[in-house]
Amino acid sequence: MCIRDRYMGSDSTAISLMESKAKTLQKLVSKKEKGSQDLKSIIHFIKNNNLRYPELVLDCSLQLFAEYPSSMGHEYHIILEELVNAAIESDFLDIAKRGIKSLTVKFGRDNIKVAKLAANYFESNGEENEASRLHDKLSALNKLDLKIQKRKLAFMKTRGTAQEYIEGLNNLLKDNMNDTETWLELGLVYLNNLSWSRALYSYEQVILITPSLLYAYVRIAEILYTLGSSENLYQARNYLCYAIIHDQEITRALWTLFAVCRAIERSGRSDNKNSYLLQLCQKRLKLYYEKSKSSTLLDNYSFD
Amino acid sequence: MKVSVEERVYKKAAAHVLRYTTEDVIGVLVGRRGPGTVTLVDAYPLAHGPVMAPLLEIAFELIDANKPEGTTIVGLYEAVVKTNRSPTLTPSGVKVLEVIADRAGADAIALLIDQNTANDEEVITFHARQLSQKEHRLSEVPESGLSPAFAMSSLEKVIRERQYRSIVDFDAHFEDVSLDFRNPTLS
Repeated sequence: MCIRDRYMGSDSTAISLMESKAKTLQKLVSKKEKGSQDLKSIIHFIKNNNLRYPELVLDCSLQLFAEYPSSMGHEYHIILEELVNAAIESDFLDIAKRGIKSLTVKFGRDNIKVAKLAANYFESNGEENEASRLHDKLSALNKLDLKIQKRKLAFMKTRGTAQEYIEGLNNLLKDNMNDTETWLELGLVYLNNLSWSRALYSYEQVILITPSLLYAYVRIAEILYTLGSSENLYQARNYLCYAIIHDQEITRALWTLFAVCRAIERSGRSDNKNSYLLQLCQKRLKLYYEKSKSSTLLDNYSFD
Repeated sequence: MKVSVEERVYKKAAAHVLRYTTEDVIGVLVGRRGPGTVTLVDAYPLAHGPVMAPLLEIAFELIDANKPEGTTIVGLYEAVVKTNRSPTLTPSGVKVLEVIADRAGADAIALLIDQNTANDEEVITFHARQLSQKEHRLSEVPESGLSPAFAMSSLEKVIRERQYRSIVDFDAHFEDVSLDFRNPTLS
């Protein structure tokens, strides 16, 4: 699970949901003799729950096509589509090409889903001009489809300059101001280019749109610390305290709060709360390291 | 300056790159300095994304508390997401290297890791750069003891047994402190 996933909405709910999905999938996969229904169940479970196991989908769908071709019925092209997606992700581009050919024969070149798959295939195969042409065509036909616009931008990210990518993100935000994902991506790009104040603005927009996204609060605090000055340090402290109140086990926020409080202490502009928070961070961190059986990492570490 | 690299540095740095192929990665190098030489002894994966000041500070302190005896932080390694451009440090990589050079009061070493395709095979190559502590200017290392053959033989097991899946950087460690940033299984 990446950093962003860790802090999306309610942590414990998100994590337990992921764990239960993984357990269900494990049960489906561990069955020894799998018939066509079992293979289809695995593919549908992965697709419907937005999970990413391309190799597993590839294995199951290839087995379906090889051993149970007549069992798929009306699901034939749905499973073929999943096969193509999985093949592109797993870098089996010859399989993907054959799948796309078959879908093109059935639905035609102008079909949007087929065009999207073809664009992804060209991207993975390094055929940048073809991919770019398709992305532009899809983007022009479907201005309201955010997925298509974002796919085009993701392609631009690897081809163009940072400036062009930032411009693309800003253009997307003009029509979609409430899209958290785009603001997060913009913030990340600004951070990579050391544009601290613009990154700060982007993450502030994120918490306006999605106040429950604790990751954004921690990021804002980190940026404020990097910018320096007492005022920024106190603000950073407030953001971190908010995040920790809502999820006491965010060790990243605890460490950042420790660094912030220590900096405030060293600046000589400490207040009553600061020493209390400093001690609280030390206590909590030692406790979590002991609970995780990794207290040896702190053996030679001094919190002073 | 002559730079020599121990096997575990190659293993950990490359494992970090292979684990996070869609992100820029950065890590810290520790080593021993001698007259005109630096031996890179160990690597500590730092982040797969932008590096922020508070966690960089804490990471340096934790590395200092856990590094092998007689070593100091001497540089960093960085890998940018696969592009066709020649390898170069990112702006934040340069900043981190400057911090390392100022902290050590000596020149700092940067290992740039490039993942590209040659003859239809994926190849990982290492390039060494040196940042002068006084002028903060980046230059090639005159005698880099980087051995491509040694590097690839070190990586064979990491790739074949998919050991890169278990690499832990500080981003992951700060999420879950039970994950050991020293990566003892790759040492």
